[in-house]
Amino acid sequence: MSFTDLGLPEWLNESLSNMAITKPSAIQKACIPQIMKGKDCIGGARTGSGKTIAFAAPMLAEWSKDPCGIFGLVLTPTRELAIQIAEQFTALGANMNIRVALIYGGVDMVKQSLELQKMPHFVIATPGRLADHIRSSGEDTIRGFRRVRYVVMDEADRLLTPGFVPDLKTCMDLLPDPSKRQTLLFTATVTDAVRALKDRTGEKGPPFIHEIASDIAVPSTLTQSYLFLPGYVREAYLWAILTHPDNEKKSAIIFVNRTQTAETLRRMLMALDVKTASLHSEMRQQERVNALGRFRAQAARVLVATDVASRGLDIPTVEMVINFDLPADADDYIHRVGRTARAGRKGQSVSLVTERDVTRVTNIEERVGTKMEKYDLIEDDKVVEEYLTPASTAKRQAVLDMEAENFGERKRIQRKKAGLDVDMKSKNKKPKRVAKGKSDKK
Amino acid sequence: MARAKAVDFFSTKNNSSDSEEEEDKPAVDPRFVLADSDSEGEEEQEDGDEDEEEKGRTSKKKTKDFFELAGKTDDGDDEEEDEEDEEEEEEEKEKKPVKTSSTKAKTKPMTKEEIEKHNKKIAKTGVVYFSRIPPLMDPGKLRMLLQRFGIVDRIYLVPEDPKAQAVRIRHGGNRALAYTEGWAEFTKKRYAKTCASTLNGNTIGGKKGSQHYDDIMNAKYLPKFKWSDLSEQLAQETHNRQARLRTEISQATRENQTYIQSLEKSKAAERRRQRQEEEGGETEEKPAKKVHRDFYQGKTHSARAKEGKKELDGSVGSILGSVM
Repeated sequence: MSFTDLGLPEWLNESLSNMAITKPSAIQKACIPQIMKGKDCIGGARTGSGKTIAFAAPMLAEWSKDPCGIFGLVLTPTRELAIQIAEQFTALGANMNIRVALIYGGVDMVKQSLELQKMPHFVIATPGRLADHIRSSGEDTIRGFRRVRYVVMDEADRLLTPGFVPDLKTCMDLLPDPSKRQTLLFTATVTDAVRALKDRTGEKGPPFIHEIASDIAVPSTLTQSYLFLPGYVREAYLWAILTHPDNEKKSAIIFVNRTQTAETLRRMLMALDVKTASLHSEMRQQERVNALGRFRAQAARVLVATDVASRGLDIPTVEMVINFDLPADADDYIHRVGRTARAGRKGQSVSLVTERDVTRVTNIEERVGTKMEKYDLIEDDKVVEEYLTPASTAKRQAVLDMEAENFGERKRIQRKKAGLDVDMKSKNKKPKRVAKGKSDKK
Repeated sequence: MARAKAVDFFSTKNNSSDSEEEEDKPAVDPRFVLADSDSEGEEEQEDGDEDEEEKGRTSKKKTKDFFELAGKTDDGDDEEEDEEDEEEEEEEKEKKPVKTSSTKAKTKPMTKEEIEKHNKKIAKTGVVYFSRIPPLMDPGKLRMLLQRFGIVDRIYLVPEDPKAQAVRIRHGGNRALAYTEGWAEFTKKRYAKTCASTLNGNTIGGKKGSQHYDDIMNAKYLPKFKWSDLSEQLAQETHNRQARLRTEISQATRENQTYIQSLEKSKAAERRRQRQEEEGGETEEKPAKKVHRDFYQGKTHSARAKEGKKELDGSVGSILGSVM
């Protein structure tokens, strides 16, 4: 079966085969014809199964019949994902002179607004900046959105969380009525909000729903393993894993829960001669773009990232995902390990489980439906001999350097400006940790 | 006031969060000194002292270099510079032992007369503070400018913040490195005073076509202020930082040691268990002393759809109608 059989025009088929995409995946087979019929769609599929093409291809097919104004709007939760989707749109529509506008925070707003005034064919946006434009950029900039034909919400489960709601509401108020446009939702995990949408039947009848058959949301080509160790030696083991002869050449993403940890690890690994880039919200947008570019071009072998990189990012070369911290939400784990083993490739994930993560790991295993194996490549003796001291020294040095450079100040200032006059320092202080048994007595 | 400003500069330079803490404390933090002698051990006291002296020297040297840097980037009159450099080097050689000898009586590379002579020389110096450095002025040009008032010793200009520079350049500013403020040391107080009274509030003048003809300088003579007042604070801060790093690292070493020990213990236990198994003694197995530890467990949460749960968080629910 080829893409032309699904009803896509020849030019699009050509662009796709130029990108080495010749066979439609399951979700593409199911969704493309339905979207072409004009139905709303909710698509759920495993990470790395080709969701982006599943909504981009039918939209482009429709658009090529009548290239006009703002034809489609794609909303994504993170800036990096927006950039990636825009790249794919540009590549697919290159021979049709497509104009794609990227609207996201952290960069010049005036330029973006000028671009919007030129009526690009597709707009890829993050909700916050788009809402900002709607509130402040004037009618000239936003009039195109009143006649949008397609609205796509990628990573819909993330977009439909309370944090995004106010901005999303602003955007939705401007867009045409749901009955006058097609709405496409894509996600790897189904949340309450997404499920609630499924049950709605508007004037157009029920939306088309494609869901994952089995409940296992991770690719079958992924091997998941864990390493159980005390929290304070994690850095040494991390370094040991990364520099083990078997992994020496692998490109890896390390996921952490806090920007602070991400920065510390980046500095530490750099000091230990591992080429590392980092990606987190405490960086400037230009730095974020540069870091990701460096990682994609394999100038940096390791990317240390917070959950900002956990969704959607498609970097085929990633062979390994290391969870330095375990996420509280098992779905985040699924997205994180989904950065590797994409499109049928092999991948590996290692989770560092500390004494405090036992409930989290059981929660994750329950959700994923498989048990992790012990990661036995690393020998304790070797770590003790070679890795422990340099790693701990480098880490302490990194922490002190960050303190001296006043890391985290930017966010504190921003919060102050936003009127959230919370003393981040006192807020960041860990709550007094009491063992469960003891707290119950009280 | 200018002195206060100088101090300000250093405390803002070191924008570490613990700067307040340090300000409140006396010049040498007793904590760190204690930590030093602790780690050195009593037997090695002598060696330790020497080591420390060595460290002190290098750190002094470093800060000195730092202050010299501004002067050395100079591309002005080479010969003159060389001469001055030599002078400065000489002074440096003399200076180091003086500083150490004031704290430690053991080493005496200088005779008493020499020290006296040196101290007198220091006592004669005067420092001028410039609150504003005109654009495109650099240490070399400033030295040329100041030479007409007398012999200039050291000059230090504070380079502008790299971020501020980037912004300035982006908005069409000159690409040359600008300076925000600076200090110059004259060998005689008289020179410094003349310099301040002549330059302050006046245009620089010179040839009419020259770049800085119309630039106005602010200069203030700093009474009872010596160059060492500038560099010592910086040296102190470096020292404090290093001391802190040492304590941190020793703490890390202790942690690592604990880990190694517990690893050994667990191995031993494992071996014992294996031996017992080989001996075939299931009955031999005595109930090991069971230590139960409770650890705070990380929280878990989930936004996943659950069967039966229909109600949604109010804010999210309100938006769904406009989505589909």
